[in-house]
Amino acid sequence: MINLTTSDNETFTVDKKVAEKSVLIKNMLEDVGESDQAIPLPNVTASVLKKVLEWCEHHKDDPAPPENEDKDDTRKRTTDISEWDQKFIAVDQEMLFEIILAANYLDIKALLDVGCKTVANMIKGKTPEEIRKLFNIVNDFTPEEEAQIKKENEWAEDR
Amino acid sequence: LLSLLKLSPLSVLRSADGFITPALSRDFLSLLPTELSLQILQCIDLRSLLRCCRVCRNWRDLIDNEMPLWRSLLKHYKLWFEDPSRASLPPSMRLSAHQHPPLNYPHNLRPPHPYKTLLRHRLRLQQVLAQPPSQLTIPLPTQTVVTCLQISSTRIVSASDEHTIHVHSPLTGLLTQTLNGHSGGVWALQFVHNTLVSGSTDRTVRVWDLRTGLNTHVFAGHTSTVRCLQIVEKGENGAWPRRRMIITGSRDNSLRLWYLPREGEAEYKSPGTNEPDHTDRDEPNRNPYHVRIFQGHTSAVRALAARGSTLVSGSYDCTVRVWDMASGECRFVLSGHAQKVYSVTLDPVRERCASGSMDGTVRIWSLVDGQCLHSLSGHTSLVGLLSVRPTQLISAAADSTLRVWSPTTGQLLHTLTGHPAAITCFLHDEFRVLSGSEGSLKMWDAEKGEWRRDLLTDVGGVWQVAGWGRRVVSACNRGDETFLDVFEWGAERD
Repeated sequence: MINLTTSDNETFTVDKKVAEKSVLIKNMLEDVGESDQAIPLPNVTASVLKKVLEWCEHHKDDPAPPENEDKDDTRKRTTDISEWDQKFIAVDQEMLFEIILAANYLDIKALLDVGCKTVANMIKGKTPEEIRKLFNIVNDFTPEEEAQIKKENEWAEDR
Repeated sequence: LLSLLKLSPLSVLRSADGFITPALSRDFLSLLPTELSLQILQCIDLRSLLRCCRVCRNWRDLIDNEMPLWRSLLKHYKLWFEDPSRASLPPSMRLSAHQHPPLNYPHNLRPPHPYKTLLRHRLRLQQVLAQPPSQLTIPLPTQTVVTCLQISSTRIVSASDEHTIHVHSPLTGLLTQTLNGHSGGVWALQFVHNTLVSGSTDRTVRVWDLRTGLNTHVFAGHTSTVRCLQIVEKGENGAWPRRRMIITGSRDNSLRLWYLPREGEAEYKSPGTNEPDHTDRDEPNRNPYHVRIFQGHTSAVRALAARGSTLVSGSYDCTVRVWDMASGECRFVLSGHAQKVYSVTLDPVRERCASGSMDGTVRIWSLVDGQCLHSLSGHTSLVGLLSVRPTQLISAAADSTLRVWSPTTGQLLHTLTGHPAAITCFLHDEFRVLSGSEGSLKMWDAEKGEWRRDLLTDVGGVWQVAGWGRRVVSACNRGDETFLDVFEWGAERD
């Protein structure tokens, strides 16, 4: 078992196998060796770490992802999020934002992937106005600029 | 608070939601580190991505200028053909257009990355090329073989074995200029902007101002037909040459390098060029535009290809020579062909060149050490035409076939068969191959090696084909007459 301490000073005790879903933690453990000391995670709060560990627990037996990703086509399909992950990631935007940052910091590629794909799914198929509303973004184009930008981005509407 | 909300009527909940939801909203793309935003963008389809560009200034700047994103989309649509260097991009898409936006562009907006423009252009081109093109047929006031043909957005320039050069409008088909001056057939020409250079059996190289139609410069020096020429573009990032040059190859076994006169630069006409058989050996030394002569070939120079300071020449002496134009030094004599060399091409991506010969082979040579890397056999007669693009090397031969090779390994990928006679001309880009022979002009899918359509049928010889992108022009005979046909795909402009 391993102890993890969050930025708000809460300590979590987890199975080593679960914690090692994080490449950051895995590397730290390798560097430090066996130790009872808690690993500090100053960039993650307790509420977010709890959520992240829930994901790690569920995926602890997943095989390691293949390394030979096709470098020529880095584009990803967003349809391949598993049902469990979809339910897991159905959280408010603030939490989703924090999970993405935490997954990036902890270096959990598969979770980061789920987070990014989820944001992508929120954006896909929406009009600019719908996107602004969804993310509370202000349209800061002048009418002249808006016309220009509309014109230069109309070419894939049939794709 | 929660108990209070539970007791509240729906209308209160709604208005509460009006400020709770925005409070929980996060502008992910703006707030996340750029590499994570890019990872999100990599999951979004093109159509949605373009809509994202319209959300706000920040999103647009992020997306439009994210080079890896547009490069990965080009690859996704299989429209990425190696690094599109400046030279392989149409002028409107060059990086300078990115740095210096069009005049009417809102000045507080940055124009998109050129790769985005490139994707748009290539997707559109791919789409329109699947359709049949429109066709405009223009009768040419000549009866002989058309030897040279070039098209730009505003001009079609053609020349024949007669002495005259004709300029037509590709839009209206009208003859706009007739350039008279050569006293022999014109066998090579090229123009950039308003400056045309031509070479002739009269042994002169002439420069013309296409705005006025006047012959501004006549360069003497070659002692036999000027058979091939090329305008050498200015070097990138200050590399040689510092200004545009002209390289000419002649039946007199030599090549000559000249400065291309700039628009409005002093006229110069070598004296005595109107007299037949006039030869003044000292003349080029008096010509301020003459730079140097390249001697070494022992028979006629038939073909050349130049880029930067590298010049490759193919000769009837069966060799290919590689020269450094800046110093005049001959770097390599490439021997191996058993017969006359008719065609050469440069492959700057791989630092190689290729040559086609009467012996039926194509040879790929290294420009680094002058070694022959591959000898491609398969053609059964003269390989008169060659073209290399980042993904393909194509040869066209008198045996009525075209062959598509891997420019890296030399492996034969496809043989394009269907013409009844020698291939007389062809045009090759990443999207298609056009080839002309007795009776027809055909369009092929070079990647799949499949015939796509006939653009011309029931014609005599198809002599030349030229063009770029959506517009192509060919020259052919119908009966005793000669015609230009302008083909245009996807007529509306964007």
